[in-house]
This record gives sequence, C-alpha cells and structure tokens, in this order.
Amino acid sequence: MKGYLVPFAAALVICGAGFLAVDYAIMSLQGLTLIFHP
Amino acid sequence: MTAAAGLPMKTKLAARRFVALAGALLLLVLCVTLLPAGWHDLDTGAALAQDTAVTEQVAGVVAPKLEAMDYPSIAGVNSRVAVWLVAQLHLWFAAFILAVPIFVFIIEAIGMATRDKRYDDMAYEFIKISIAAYSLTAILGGLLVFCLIVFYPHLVQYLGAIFKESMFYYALLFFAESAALYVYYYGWHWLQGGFKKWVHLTVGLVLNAVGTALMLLANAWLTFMMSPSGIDAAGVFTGDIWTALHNYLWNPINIHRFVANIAYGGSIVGAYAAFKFLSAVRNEDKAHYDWMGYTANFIAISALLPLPFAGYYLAAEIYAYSQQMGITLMGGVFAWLFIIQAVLIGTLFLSANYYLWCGMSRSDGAVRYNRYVKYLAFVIIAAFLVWFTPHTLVLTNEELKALGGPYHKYLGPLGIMPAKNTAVNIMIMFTALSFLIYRRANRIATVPWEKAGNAFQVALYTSGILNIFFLGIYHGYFTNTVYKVASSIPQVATTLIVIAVSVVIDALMYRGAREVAPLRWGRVPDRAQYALFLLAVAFTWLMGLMGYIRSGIRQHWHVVGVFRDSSADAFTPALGYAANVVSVGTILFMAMVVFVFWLSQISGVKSVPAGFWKERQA
Repeated sequence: MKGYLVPFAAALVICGAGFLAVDYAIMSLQGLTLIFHP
Repeated sequence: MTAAAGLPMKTKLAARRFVALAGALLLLVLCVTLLPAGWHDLDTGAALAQDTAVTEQVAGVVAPKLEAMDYPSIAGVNSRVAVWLVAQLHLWFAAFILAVPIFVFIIEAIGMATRDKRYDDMAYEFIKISIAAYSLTAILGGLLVFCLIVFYPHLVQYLGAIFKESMFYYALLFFAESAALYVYYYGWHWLQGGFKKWVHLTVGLVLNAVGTALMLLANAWLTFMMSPSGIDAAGVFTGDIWTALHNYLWNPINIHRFVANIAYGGSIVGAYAAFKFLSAVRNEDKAHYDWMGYTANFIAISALLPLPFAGYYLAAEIYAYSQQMGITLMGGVFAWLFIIQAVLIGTLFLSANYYLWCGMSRSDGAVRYNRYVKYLAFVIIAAFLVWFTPHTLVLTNEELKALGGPYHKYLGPLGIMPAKNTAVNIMIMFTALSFLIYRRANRIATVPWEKAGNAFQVALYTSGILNIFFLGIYHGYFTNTVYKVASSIPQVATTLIVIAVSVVIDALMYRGAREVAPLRWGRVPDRAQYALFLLAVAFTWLMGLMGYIRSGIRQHWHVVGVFRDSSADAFTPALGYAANVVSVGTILFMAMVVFVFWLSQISGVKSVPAGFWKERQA
C-alpha cells in the first residue's frame, strides 16, 4: 500500500495543478478568468 | 517502414512514390475543403485575383415565390414523407459505404505492417459487405433525385442553378469512386505481396479520397439550405460556387459526419459479425467472427468517444450562425427529441461497454478485474440518468400544482447543460477506462515501475474527475451563462487529456508484458452479440432522429431566410409523428441490411445438385 500511496499523492498534486493550469489557459483564451468576477 | 523491408530498392522507391502521390491527393482534397471560411477574401496577390476573375460567377439566382399549387403531387403519396424516407435511407447507406473503406484501409495497412494475414482477410470481408450496400446506395440516390424532381422541381432548379458545377463533378466523381472500389475489391487477391500490395493500398487511399470528396460536396448542398452564403440584401444569390459550397455550417457538418460515419460503419459491421457468430457452427468460425465483432466494436467506440464533442461544436456553430435556429434546436419544439437522443446515446455507451465486459470472458486473467465492472456500470448508468433528465416535465395542471411549477425541486438542476456536460464527460472517461481494463485483463506488466504507474493513472483519473465536477458545478451553477458555455471547453480538454495520457502510460507499462494465457476468441456469451445488434439499431435510429432535427430546424424554409416552403407540408410535424416516420425508416433500413448480410452469406455457399447436370464423358 505504501508503494502506491506516495506516488498517488504526488501525482494527484501534479495532475490537479496541471488541470487547473489548463482550465486557466482555456478560460483566458476566451477572455475569462477561472474564478468568476461578477 | 517495416512492411517495405525486404523489398528491392527500385520497388521501395516506386511504392513510396505511389503512396506520396496518393497522400498528396488526399491532402489536397482536405486542404481545399477545410480552409477557414473567407480565406479567398484575403489579399493573396495578383495571381489569385486573376484566378478569381476567370471564375464563373453564378450571379443573380433569385429564389422563386411559390404557392401550394406549384408543388406537384401524386395521389396517395405524401411528398414530404416520401422524400424524407428516401433521403434518410440513402444517407444511412452512404454513411456506411463511406466509412467501411476508411477502416478497411487502416486494417489492411496494419496487416501489411505486421504481415499478419488475418488482418488482410478481415479487411476483405468488411469490404465484401459494403459492395452490395454500394449498389443500394446508388439506387436510393437515384430514387431521391427522381423524388426531388417530381415533388420539389422549383427547389431542384434553384439549387441546380447555384450548384451546377459541383453537381456535375459529383456525378463524374461517382465514376472515379466506382472504378476505385471495383479495383480495390476485385483486385484484392490479385494485388498481393510486395509492390502489388502497395498499389492496392494506394487504390484504397484514392477510394477514400474520392468518397470523402463526394460527401463534402453533398454536405455543402444541405448546409447551404441551413446557412446560405453569397446572398445579397435582396435575397439574391450573387456569389460564386466556392462561396456557396463554403457556407457557414459546412465544416462543422463535415467534421461531425466524418466521425459519425466511422462509428456508424463500425456498428453495422459489428452487427454483421454478430450475425455470423450466432449462425456459425464450427469453433474456428466463431473465433474468427468474435475477433471481427471485437474489432468492429473497437472502431465504433473509438469514433463514438469524440462524437459528442463534434456534436457540441456543430450545435455551437448553429447558435453562432442564428440564435433563433439554435433556440429552436435545443430550447424549442425539438428539445424533447434531444431527451430521446440522450437515451439513445446512453444506450450506445451502455451496449458498447456491456460488450467489452462480456468480452473479458475470453481471458483467463480477467478474474482479477471482474469486481471493478459493477463500479464502472454504476458510474456509467448514473451519468446516463443525469444526461437524459429533462429540464421541464410534461405535466397535467394537478401535477403542476403539486410540484409547485414545471421544475422538479431536486431533479430540475440536473436538466441544464452543465450537468449534462459533466455527465457525458464522465461517461466517456469511464468507457475509456472499461477499454483499459479489458486491455489489461489478459496481461501482467513486467516493468519495475508498475506500482507507480498504476498510482499515477488512478491519480490522473481522480484529478480529472474532480476538475470536471469543479468546472461543471462551480461554473455551471454559480456564474453566468458566458462562463457556463465557456467552461465546457476545459471539461472536454480534461477528458481528452486523461484518455490520451492514460493510454500512453498503459502502452508503456504493458510493453513486453506476459500473457496470462492465450486469449480464447469465440469464448464469449451469445448475449454479447445482441449488444452489437443493439448498437447498430440504436445508431441507426439516432441518426434518423438527429437527421430529422437538423433538417427540421429550417422550419418553413427550403433555404433559410431566402426560399420559403409554401407546400401543404410547410409545418413542423408533431414529435410522435416524426418519431414514427424515423422508426419506419429504421425498420426499412434494417430489413435491407439483413438482405445485404444474407447476400454475403449465400455468396459463400455452393450447392452440388446430384444428377442435375448432364455427365460429360472424358
């Protein structure tokens, strides 16, 4: 289990950050921000 | 290229030239057609200006103003239903015969590269089915032209005046397609080995290039009716042929149809394989048709996964072209048909996944993964239920009062697009996961980083799902409409990234993997074959339904905003009526498909009538 947990946690952080970066980039390309400003 | 290894240098060079020539031809067709709209308006210099000057202008084509009496009729025949059914039947067959050569070409190329003759035999069997379907497509195409001339002569005349060049070359291209198809099919066993095989593959490429060009031309005619271009303020067509062809919705339809045709073609040949599997007696035949069915299902799923995205792109472009048309499409009279569409697409995903899960019985190693299937099924069914939850309900006055309005308190929020976008992305992602599990079922990874690789894949899926939910819930329910629509794009990107990265990691992890035991083709329950039948029928019904919606959003126009439909049928029929017509079309089509399968079956049967023929003395 230990062999899975550390790489899983590390990958979760990396992938999560990566997806947020993708979200940010695509929303910016459409002239919008990731967090909504009314 | 490994396939070319071992050939003499001259042969290799000649083969490369052939492939380069064919590739250039295909590239030319795609480049010319897929260039962005309005490219010719750019200042590209004197040469282009000169070319434009000599291009024949189709100036001043005026749409006639018709009365109901201008539409000829035949006693006992409803013109609209006749044209509707014939056009739809033609389109179903056309989609099938355009798609089959695409994946036959790919399977043949795989066979050539791997030198595994089983691929070549399977590709040949696939193309054999499409031969009979090709004749039916041509017959139905001819019938459609006659029906249009008889029932809608003014419309044919109007479109003919605008598209005369493309219609003429369309007819000529049929010769090219027929020639390429016949050489490809009848020359299959003749053009075998070395340079001859390269020639055969090139013929396949030419066949696909011509078939695609035919589809693009026909698509332009129908999209012109939806989004006419080259029309001046007085409603007169003053553009040239390219303006007419390259109208606003042309490329969105081209992309959508190209992908959908492949998925559809895969589902129909899957049904063929299922039919042959169920009627096979010998174990080796069952094994062969099981493999064929699996390949067909794989093709159908591969094209089915990007299909919703192509559909969203088309719908977005319809909105962008005309908001009114877009609202009619999904917010107006046709909205309820989209609920049926959701049910049918859910059926496609469920049957494709069910087939994969049943197929795990081919492998002795699948027992390690069987326990995960119930979770996959739960998620896919949950996503399916969200997808077809309607926003509003058809209710009686009493029910409305009891509910406190048309929206259900808990289910209402699931009826809007952000929930559906989230659901479909999850459904696609889990279908890809089903395939990954199927792929792993019979293998044991031997790389030292197997644990880390698995952990990374789980993290990838987890973060991808969380991101899709974040975009769907936060942007879908706590922002405005602009954000709601915009956030669907990163959702799609997330799904595509998860699928692509996990497939790459899986391929690396299972490189050089051990097999648990030889895969037992043919060891699959009969019910898996019925899933393949369901896939084909649901696809056919779905295409008919969506085809009706696409055409129906023109409402009382032959050509939107330009040429008014003044016939007695210039109204949108009730949904039940439309669904019945589509159902009749589906039954007719499936009957014809069974006929095609039967033809393919009897072509391999030889009877030896004892005592019928006169004995000849040597």
